[in-house]
Amino acid sequence: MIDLVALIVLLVGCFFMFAGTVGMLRLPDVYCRLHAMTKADNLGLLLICMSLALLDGHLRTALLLLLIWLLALLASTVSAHLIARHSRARLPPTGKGPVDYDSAESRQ
Amino acid sequence: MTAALVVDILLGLILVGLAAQVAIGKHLFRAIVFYVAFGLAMALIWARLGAPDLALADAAIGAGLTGALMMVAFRRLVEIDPKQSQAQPRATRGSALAVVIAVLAAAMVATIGLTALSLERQPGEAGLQVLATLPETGLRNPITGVLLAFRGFDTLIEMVVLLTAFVGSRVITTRTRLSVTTISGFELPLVRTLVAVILPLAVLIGMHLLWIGSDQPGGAFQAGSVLAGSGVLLLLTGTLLPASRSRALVRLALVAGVAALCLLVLAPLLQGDAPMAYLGRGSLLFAETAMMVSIAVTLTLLFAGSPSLQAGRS
Repeated sequence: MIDLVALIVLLVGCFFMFAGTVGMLRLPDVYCRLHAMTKADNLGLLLICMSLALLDGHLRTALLLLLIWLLALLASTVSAHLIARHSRARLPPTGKGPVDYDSAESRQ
Repeated sequence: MTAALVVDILLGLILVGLAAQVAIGKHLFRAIVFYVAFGLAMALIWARLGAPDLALADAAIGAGLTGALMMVAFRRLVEIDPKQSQAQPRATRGSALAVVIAVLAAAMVATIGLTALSLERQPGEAGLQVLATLPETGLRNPITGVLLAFRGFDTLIEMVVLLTAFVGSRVITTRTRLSVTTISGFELPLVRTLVAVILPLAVLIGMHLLWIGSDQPGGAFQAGSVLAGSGVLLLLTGTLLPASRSRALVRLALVAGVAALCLLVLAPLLQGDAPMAYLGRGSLLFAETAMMVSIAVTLTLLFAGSPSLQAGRS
């Protein structure tokens, strides 16, 4: 029974990871990509960690996985913030559709 | 075909694909990013092969620190020659000779591989001897046993290589004024919080890896690279800054690993033993601590591109 729950949680986690990756590859500009990565991947990682903790069944493993997730959350938050800040200084969002990175690069 | 085999084959294909991207990628920066991904894939493969020591070292040094070193080198390269940021370094024009050489090389590798597969597997004599003698050393991690008790000389040479690499980089960069390594936005409270959380944890993990190295996967190389990683973080956030004047303490840290290993080689002579005779676990912990300090300081200074460090903003 626990195995089944863990499997379902794992699959849902994989779905979110996949969605985040597709978003990063397919979305038009850096802001949309960050949006996809930061949200979907953190949730996906949490679900995968939860499923692994369920499969292992020890409190120690569960706490270690939680720590790993929190560290990944912290790192991705700060790096996404820095990337967004850097992009905003160079190519601010216009509010009229995606920022065209290539044409902005070539204008410089 | 089992699921594990499918995963292994996939990992192998990913590794080859990433290696190809690094080698033939048109853009230098892309190649660096692919190299970091290559290091991570390599670490995964070591873990799958049951070599957690190598996986740890590859993740920390191969992916993390080498990646950071290449990124900072790229940034400085672009400062010297802005064209490099868009450069397409190699004009890859296919020549008939290259195809012939590639096919012959592939045939040779395939022949060697197939021959190796068809041979009956021999037990590794050296490995078996290590495992049989390991209890006498009081260690429980065979990797540490090989690195320090059985083949300590190799490790001494490795530390000398690291020191030589640092001295070489100093010779090259001593006349150039390298740019500062801080990132934009390092003054933000969010970044300060990251440092405040990550740094104590990194030091804790480094010490843990050093301490458990005798019995479990870990050791001086892994611990040193984790500490060097936090050194890079401190440089990026401006808490440490490169200093142009060398200091005695830093120089001492740079040679500590080589010096400690030399001591381990010579100390048995005092007792009338042969050089490099095994002195027990305590001596190894001493040598590993010195090596960890040397590795951490050398790698951090390589990133800084300076002979020393100074405190930045508090």
